Amino acid sequence: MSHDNLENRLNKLKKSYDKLPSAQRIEETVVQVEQQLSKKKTRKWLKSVATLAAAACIFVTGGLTWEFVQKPKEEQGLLASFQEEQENELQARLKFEAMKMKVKVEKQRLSNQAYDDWLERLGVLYTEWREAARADLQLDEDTFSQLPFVSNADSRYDSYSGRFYREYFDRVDEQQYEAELYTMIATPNQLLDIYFKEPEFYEVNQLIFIDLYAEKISGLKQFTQERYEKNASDPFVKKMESQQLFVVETSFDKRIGFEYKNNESKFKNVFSASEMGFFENIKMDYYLFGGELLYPFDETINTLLLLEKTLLDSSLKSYKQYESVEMYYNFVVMQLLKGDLVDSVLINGEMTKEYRELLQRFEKESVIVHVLAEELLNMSTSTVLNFLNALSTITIEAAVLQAQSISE
Amino acid sequence: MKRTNQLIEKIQAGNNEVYRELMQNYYATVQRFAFQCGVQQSDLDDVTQEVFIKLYRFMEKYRDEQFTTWLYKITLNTARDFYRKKSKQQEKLARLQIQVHEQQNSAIDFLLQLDEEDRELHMAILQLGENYRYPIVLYYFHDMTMPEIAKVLGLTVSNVKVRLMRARSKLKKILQLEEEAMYES
Repeated sequence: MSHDNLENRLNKLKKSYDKLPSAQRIEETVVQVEQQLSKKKTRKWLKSVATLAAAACIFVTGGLTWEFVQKPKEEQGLLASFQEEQENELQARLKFEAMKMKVKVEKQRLSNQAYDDWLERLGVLYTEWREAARADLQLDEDTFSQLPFVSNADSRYDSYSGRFYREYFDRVDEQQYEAELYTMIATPNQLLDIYFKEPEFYEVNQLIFIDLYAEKISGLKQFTQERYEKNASDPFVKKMESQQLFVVETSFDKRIGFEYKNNESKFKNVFSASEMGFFENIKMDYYLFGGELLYPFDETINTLLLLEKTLLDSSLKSYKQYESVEMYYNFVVMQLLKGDLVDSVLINGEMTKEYRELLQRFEKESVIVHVLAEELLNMSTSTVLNFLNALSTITIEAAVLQAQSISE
Repeated sequence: MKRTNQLIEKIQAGNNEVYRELMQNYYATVQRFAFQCGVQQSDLDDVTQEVFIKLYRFMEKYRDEQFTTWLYKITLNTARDFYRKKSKQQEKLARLQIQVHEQQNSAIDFLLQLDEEDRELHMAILQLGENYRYPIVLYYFHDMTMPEIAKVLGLTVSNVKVRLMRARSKLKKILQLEEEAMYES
């Protein structure tokens, strides 16, 4: 069954649900609820009456006891057996309540115990993960703990010992929480490593991986920028430059920029078609990827753009018509994946010179198009450039219209 | 939403008359959601009733949360609790045996209102575990966003995304197996 097929059936079912004639018994239920509510009020009133009645009972029992002394033996026997019966019943009830309480306490104790055990295991794991991340960045504890992703991970870890997580422990998927915590504390480099070595770790969740990766880089970038602004020769900045972040100083606006250095090959491997990477999934079943991946297809593409924007933000500055590019990008990638780009783009009309230049730059600087072209579809970069040139025969509006019709 | 908030304010101020209006506004939503979560036809009215009683009881505690999110949470918990209460279930069974004839005549059987294809999908969704069923129901049938679903189910947005994805995958498998079984037979 295809993704489309399932979506259509779910939509059809929604329409059928919406047509269900559910309102017929509203009135009846409204009346019942009102009765229930009034009963509850009555019960409150009854409680006070019951208290009074209990007091009266004590009084009457006292009276009876007095009378008991006075009554003949037969009546005394009857009353005694009645009192004994009452006493037994009370004892049984008390016993039952005590047992219930004991079970409740024991259940709570076991649940607390299980949670404490898990927390203890997690504590050991987290210390290891945290230390590995610090070592990977080669930072001292002070600097490391100030990094945004580290402080986020630390506070998540701290919150596990709070009441909220404890109370919901029986509903928590331990492994899921551990995996989440690990991805929070891991460095970008470590994330790539996991993805490369254990692709099944993110098997179902490549876009979340990309979000995470982009978020970490973005946070680190901002942190580094702040340090750089305070002190251009800060050793931390230098360290970042030589390590994970591929930092380069761009002197013209004194802002930190990024480019691929040490991790370029690793990054490409992760996203390559030859491994079980991101694009392999698209290649295998692009629609499944687009839809199954929890996001609609255009969101998938936008996330790829986000990644690019994060990693190559300096080049993105040149995308003056970002919105149009986004639309167009969607269109190009969709057509590339469908394999009918050439046929679908040969429409009459013209594209502005400015936009053509933008597209050429886009192709040149875009890792995604590059990877798609070379690794996914085995096309040379020049072939892609030819496609883009061919695209220059249509207007932006036409391209956007096509993109819209496809995404619909 | 503004209207709902006004109603709630009045109820919180002690005006119980308007509670009827609130019930009428949300009755169908609650009942449908309970049905989609797997509450049996014969229990739907009881569960819906219980939801509105709880809602009333907790009304004082309601503050800034989105009302529908809160309502879905209560419905979900009520539906879950309903089948956890074993004794209640047994009592219900006994009552059902007596009332079965009456029920057949009066209740609308939602399942019979669905065509065969929809019924098959409805049953397939019920075969999913709770972890996967609720995200599917809220996402597809109640037009909720991922963050809203996350709030109702007490999960992170990432978790909701993963569960939705797995749910779709499982759903496809169930439907495929059923198709194959039908083909073989």
